[in-house]
Amino acid sequence: MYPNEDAPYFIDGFTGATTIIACGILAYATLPLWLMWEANRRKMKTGHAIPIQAMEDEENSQVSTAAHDKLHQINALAEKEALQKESITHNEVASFHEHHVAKG
Amino acid sequence: MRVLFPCCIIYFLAYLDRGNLGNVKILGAKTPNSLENTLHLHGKQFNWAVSITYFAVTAGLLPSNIFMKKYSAKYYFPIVMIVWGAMVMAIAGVKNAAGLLSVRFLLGVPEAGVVPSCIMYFAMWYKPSERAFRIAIFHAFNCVASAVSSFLASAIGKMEGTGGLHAWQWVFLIEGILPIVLAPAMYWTLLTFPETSTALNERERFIAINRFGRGAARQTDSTFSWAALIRIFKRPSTYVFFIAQTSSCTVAVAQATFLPTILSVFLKFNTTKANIYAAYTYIFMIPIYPFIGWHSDWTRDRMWHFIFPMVCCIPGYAVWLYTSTHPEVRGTSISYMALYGMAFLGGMCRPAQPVLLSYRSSTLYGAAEQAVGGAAAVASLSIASIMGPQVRAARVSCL
Repeated sequence: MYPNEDAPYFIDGFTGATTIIACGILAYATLPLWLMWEANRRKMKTGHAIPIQAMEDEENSQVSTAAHDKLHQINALAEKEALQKESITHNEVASFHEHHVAKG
Repeated sequence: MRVLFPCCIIYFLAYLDRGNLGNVKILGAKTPNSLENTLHLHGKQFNWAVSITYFAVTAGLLPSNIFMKKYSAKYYFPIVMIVWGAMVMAIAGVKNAAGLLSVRFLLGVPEAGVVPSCIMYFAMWYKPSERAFRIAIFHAFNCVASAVSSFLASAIGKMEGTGGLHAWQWVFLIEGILPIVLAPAMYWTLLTFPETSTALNERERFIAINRFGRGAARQTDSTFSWAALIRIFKRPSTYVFFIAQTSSCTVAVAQATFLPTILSVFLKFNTTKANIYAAYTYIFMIPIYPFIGWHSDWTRDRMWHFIFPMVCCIPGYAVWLYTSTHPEVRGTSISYMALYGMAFLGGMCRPAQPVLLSYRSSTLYGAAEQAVGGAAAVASLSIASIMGPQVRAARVSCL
């Protein structure tokens, strides 16, 4: 972009850099419009704004009711162990439970 | 921490080994011991040796994303590091220009994976609203590598003749052994996927998986499908992201390559001063990257955090352009130091890139789209890197 012949004044190079940056900004500014257009088109075609593949992937992922149940079991086990280890007052059990609900 | 930090080290090493040719060129320049004279390089062969790597990198972007998804980062990155480390050490053993060109090309194959796979790896561990900051820190290591590379090359330059090897051979040997030595450490620190990592207990795993909404890239997704590829290339946003990223990268690469030249001929700095002052602009950029990334995450905005730095660029180049067309103002109404300050503004297009990449990665659905779309966005960097040195070599003022 800055050939040696142009030295010491890189008129072409600086013009080019300014133009390229301006084009980049304009292109980027239109992005939300393009993304919206894509989502609307998907919605018209399939009835869903996100691709069908993404919904299939979600079914395969471990974010499921089975996984939720498993976590509840794990939480219950951990709670039980904690209760067995030391005698805990009722209040402490409640706060322990709350803590885990907040976390999960 | 075990996701971001190893990736930064890997990027640092990858960039060090990819970009070291420029620093090696000036070692023992004009003596029989230099790289060019030992290998009898002439004409544009050196420029080709720089560019040829990026051809392999561009071709390898998508396959390496797929391998990363298939074998997980924990296995993928250490293997890639060992391969490219061996390649860099092989450069020290080449005897002629053809050897250098072929090894540089092969170096591009393992290096291809570093940037897109790290972006994809982040997509699997970090929520969209956390990515810009992480990707920005990751990118800042590019600047760190640029600064360290020149320092390291000049330090190793003093080893000329040690063990019967030239200084440039030592640079490649030492910078090649680094990734090989660090590969086992990366193996121990890197995590596989939230779904399979043994470092998490069940509860942590549940949190790591369920942090994401629909459409996140997951280990359980299909690794690759032609349908996803076609879908990505049918989306106009792919091309718009590509145009925006290419514009930012082209200006950034051109500035990185020619800033010392601009400073010395346009601003009449001497060679040493030009190199040091060019390095200052990199050092200045290092904290800017994470700041913009963090602010972008904090405000949950990906639009203005790209546009604002890019707009900063324009007055920088506009002032330089005005000074070029009106040479009488140089040093009179606009001081040389003010013109140098414009270099900082001109460099602002660099921290805009991580914001774009995180916007791109959060508008892709699932691992297969992430692999294709991420590779398409990152391709612009290697295309800009191919254009940079070649445009100069061809002496075409095409712009």
